[in-house]
Amino acid sequence: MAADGWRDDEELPVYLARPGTAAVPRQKRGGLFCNVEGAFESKTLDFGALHVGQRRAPPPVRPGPDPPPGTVPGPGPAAGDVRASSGQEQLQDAAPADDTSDRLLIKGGRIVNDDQSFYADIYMEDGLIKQIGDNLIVPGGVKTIEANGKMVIPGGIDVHTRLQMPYKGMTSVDDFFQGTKAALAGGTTMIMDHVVPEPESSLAEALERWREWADGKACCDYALHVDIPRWSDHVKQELHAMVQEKGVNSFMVYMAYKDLYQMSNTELYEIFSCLAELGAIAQVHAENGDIIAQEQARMLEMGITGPEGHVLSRPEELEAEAVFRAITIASQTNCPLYVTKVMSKSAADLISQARKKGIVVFGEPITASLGTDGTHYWSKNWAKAAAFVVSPPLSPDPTTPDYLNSLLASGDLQVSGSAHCTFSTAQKAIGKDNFTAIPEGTNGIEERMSVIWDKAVATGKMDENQFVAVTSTNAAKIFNLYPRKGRIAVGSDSDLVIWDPDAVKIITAKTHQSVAEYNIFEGMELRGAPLVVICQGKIMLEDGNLHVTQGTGRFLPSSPFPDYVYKRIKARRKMAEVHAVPRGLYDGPVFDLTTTPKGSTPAGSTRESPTRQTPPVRNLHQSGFSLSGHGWSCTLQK
Amino acid sequence: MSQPGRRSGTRGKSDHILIKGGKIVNDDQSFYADVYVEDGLIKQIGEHLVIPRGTRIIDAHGQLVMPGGIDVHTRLQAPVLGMSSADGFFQGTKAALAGGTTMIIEHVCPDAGSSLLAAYEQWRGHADGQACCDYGLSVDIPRWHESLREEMEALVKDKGVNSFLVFMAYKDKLQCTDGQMYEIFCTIRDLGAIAQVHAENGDIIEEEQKRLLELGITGPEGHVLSRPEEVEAEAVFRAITIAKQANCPLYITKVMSRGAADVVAQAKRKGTVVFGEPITASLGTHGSHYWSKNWAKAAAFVTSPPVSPDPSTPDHLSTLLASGDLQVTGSAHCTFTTAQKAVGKDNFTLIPEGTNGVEERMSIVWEKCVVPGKMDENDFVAVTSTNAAKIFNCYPRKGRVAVGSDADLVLWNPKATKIISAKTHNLNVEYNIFEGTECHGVPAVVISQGRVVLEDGNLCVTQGSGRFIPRKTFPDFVYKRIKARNRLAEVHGVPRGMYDGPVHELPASVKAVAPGAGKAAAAPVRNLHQSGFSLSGSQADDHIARRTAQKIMAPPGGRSNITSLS
Repeated sequence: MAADGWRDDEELPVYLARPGTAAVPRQKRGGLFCNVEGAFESKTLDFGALHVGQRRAPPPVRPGPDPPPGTVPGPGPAAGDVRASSGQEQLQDAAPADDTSDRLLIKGGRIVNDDQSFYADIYMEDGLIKQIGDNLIVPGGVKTIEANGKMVIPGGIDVHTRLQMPYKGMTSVDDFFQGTKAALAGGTTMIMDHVVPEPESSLAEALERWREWADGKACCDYALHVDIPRWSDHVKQELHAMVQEKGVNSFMVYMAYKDLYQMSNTELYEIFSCLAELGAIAQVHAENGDIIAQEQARMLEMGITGPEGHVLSRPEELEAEAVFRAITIASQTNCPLYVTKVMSKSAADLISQARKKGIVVFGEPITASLGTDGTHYWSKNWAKAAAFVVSPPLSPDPTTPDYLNSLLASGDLQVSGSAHCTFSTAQKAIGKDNFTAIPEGTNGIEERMSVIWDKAVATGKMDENQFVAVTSTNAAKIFNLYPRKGRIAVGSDSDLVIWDPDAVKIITAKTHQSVAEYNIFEGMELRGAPLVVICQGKIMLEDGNLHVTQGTGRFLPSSPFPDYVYKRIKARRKMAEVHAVPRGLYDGPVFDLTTTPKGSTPAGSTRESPTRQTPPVRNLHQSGFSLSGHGWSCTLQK
Repeated sequence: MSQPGRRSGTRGKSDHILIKGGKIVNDDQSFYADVYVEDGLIKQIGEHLVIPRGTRIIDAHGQLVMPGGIDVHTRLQAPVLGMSSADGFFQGTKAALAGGTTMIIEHVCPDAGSSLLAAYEQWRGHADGQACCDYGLSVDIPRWHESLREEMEALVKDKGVNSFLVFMAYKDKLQCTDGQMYEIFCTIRDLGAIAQVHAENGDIIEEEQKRLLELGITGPEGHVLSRPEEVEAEAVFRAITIAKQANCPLYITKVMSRGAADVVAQAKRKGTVVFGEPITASLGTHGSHYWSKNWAKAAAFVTSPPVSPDPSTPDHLSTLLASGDLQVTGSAHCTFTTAQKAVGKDNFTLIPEGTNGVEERMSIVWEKCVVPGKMDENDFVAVTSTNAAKIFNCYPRKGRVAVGSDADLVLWNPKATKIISAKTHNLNVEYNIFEGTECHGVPAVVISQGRVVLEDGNLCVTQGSGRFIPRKTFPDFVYKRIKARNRLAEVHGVPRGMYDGPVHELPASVKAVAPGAGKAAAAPVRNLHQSGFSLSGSQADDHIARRTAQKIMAPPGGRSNITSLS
């Protein structure tokens, strides 16, 4: 009987059968298949199915599948059909299968984690993944989504957003609602936003403000990074409190924005030391602000005021320099480093070199740097050129996106963000006569997953598992949210995306979710798009329709000392102890500084001074003084 | 400026010298010829020379006749904490000549805030009275302020200085910020001089010093622990970035570590005009001695950047020197007696920094590079003399054996050996950091300004006979490329019509309006989008039109990648 059922499953997929006609003899309770109560709690995977395509071939999902004879194809694209469960299941459970049910079953999907892919069904309840496996025993009233062999991946985590960011009294146009909505539309189910406190103001207050904004508006879960605008002892205490009590484990410092946010090397050293003690991640905005300030002044003097001045005053060498410096300081302080917005080849190269030297450093390319390049700064259309203004700027080298994608595929860069921070053209236009006043930021929250799929997976640079790693899993690991996020596993949050690798979408400002008028990826044709997005166990996107509710996003506190990062740091800390050389006291002659008149160096040490000093020197030499306890000659180099 | 031959009267011996039977080695070729020297200049090169009677003939069979060494970096008169280094100009140049070096470039270190010109005159005063060989001066810039620009100009135009050194270390004393370095580099580029840097990240060093002192590490090992080589490499990288940005030729003094040398080599490969100067200490020894139980010995190695504790460093640096990734060698000779060093016996940060090397430089380079076959004798001449003369613009007066060049010559005996020891060196210090090193290849005869100063192991020098060698600006070797790049580096704005679209009005009250403002801003934004504003100017709207058309028309799969448009 069991075997029969199995075969039926295979030969006549449920999704192709009309309700009631398919042989789905599965009984929920008291049936033949469910003689052990609570069996699902320790439900293990069918290991045979782990080998993709070996035993249990996926249902036909190739584009334009020929429906098996005798079945009726579903209307339109069958994949991703969401239906209320029907038939026997309803008999078991009286609960009506309404849309608000938080019980979901994804059937027939290929689960893709960062380590492996396998075919299995997923049952979710209460926003958590409860069961994974074949032939799951699920209660009635479960909404079933037929994945039809499409990939089911953990929802994306966008590690870098700046929604609703205040800037000079304006606010970026995509607020937490609009931004997270766009995120969900693109397959991202969690964002990590940056809190940008005013210099001199309290970090904790700023955090509270951001929490307030986000709690009221966000449609998906979020975590927060806090930017450190100024460094002081007070801030140090605040960091402590935030890590211990507020659930923030990453802080960002700026090496650019002179006289505003920029930190000196000394401050960086102190901050990194402090963060390493707290078990947090140090993020840097890496650009050499001093030189940028000089270059900006030069450009404006030369009369270059348009957006091209932005990229000309921030050449990629300055980014690379700052990355190198940040890495040096981090390695000196034994602090894990996370470089935000890797925009250029040289910066990325330095990160991969440093990793090869064993330094704990992570690099985050963003949608913009992965998807487009900086040639648009020279666009004759001011508004378009201005839309690309972001710091560090997009590299004018058109081979950069390809290169960064390769490094992302090889693991030299680990995570991807969007640095989504959009301003309307009118807002950007406050810098119409001076590029330094153009508010910085590009879109990318919605396009991120598709850009990476198109540029890296579709081109064969990375496989689907690595795709999951760089869009979701690595981020969850670095920021200590793993395995709650970033993995499809029993007990994880049910943030899932059914990914359609064959979908083709043309990016345009007309259809994007963001409020901005320009989309820097305008006209790009991207392969790969989310078909169904499930966030907190609820379907947020299906059939191209978004169903989001403002304010449903939860704040996820992230705890310090993420294992993924700190295991190595801790081991090194043990190794890094230094010891003084035990020596006897030096009891030889000591040059008497007091006899030499102070300040006489330039004038006093004229021609005579060496001769004045030479005699005692000579005498010392001939006196052959020795050091206490240690032989003189034995230490001579042989 | 000194006139050549001003002190010709003081020359005791015959001015006429013929070097017979030697193999002349320049940086480009070697050949057998005789050299005839008169009045401090090389007058004839060739065979069967016609020479006046009474000419002194030196037999050079089996020896190499090379241009005398140029030590690009000495600090014979460095003032530290009111002390003066142990070897003054006399002792230092004497040691230089003993080692085959016939010209030094000394660093003038003015006090922070004092006049560069005054310090320059002071150094000239010291050197003119004491130096036994020709010398040039390079001026350190201790703290940048605008008024120094004029002084630098005066030094370059009237005083024969064409290189300036800035410090990236020594926080609160000599250290320059990145912005200042950029300004200095721009000034130097405009003047046609060379920017030198002491490359170490002073901020990190200070933090590390504090930490180590707190840990109770006060000995010389703290010096190297507080200045790890990453900190040097970082500063080198930063200096190169800034110099490239300012389009200024850069010269890294004291390349002490693998990391720093690799950064220089990489930058060269990317086309940056950068030169690296390893010193005798980094080529000849390594930093494991900082852990010596003998405090005095450990302290003798204290120099900044420190000698790398990695014992493979000298080998690596000599390889890069041989391959041309590093170009010149200096000694950074700045010696202090043990008693002077002992000022820092309880605190490594007070130990005066500096090692010896002016005398050993040539032999060490020969031993580390030529003896193992990494470079040939011509490369040897290049890195010990010719490249330096080219970079600092005294070529071909110095750095070449050619008719008309100064008669600064070394007869190099590649077969002789010498063991370096503090007992026999020509210095005032008790320790020699190369103690016990055996060198195969020593100078047999050294001729400076046409006079034999070293022969049969006997030094015969005259205090004050050294002349100041003024150096001109815009050395060809360096500036030909810089000039070409200057022409190319011009940037132009994009000619656009005026932007006449809507402009967001900045609210008067800037603070604490963010949440509300967010919504307020969003509404007009949508409208703007739909209003389809256009930009004035002819090119602007055709751009938009194309894009819009593409948006609508492009079928799925059609060409629609925006990157192909502009």
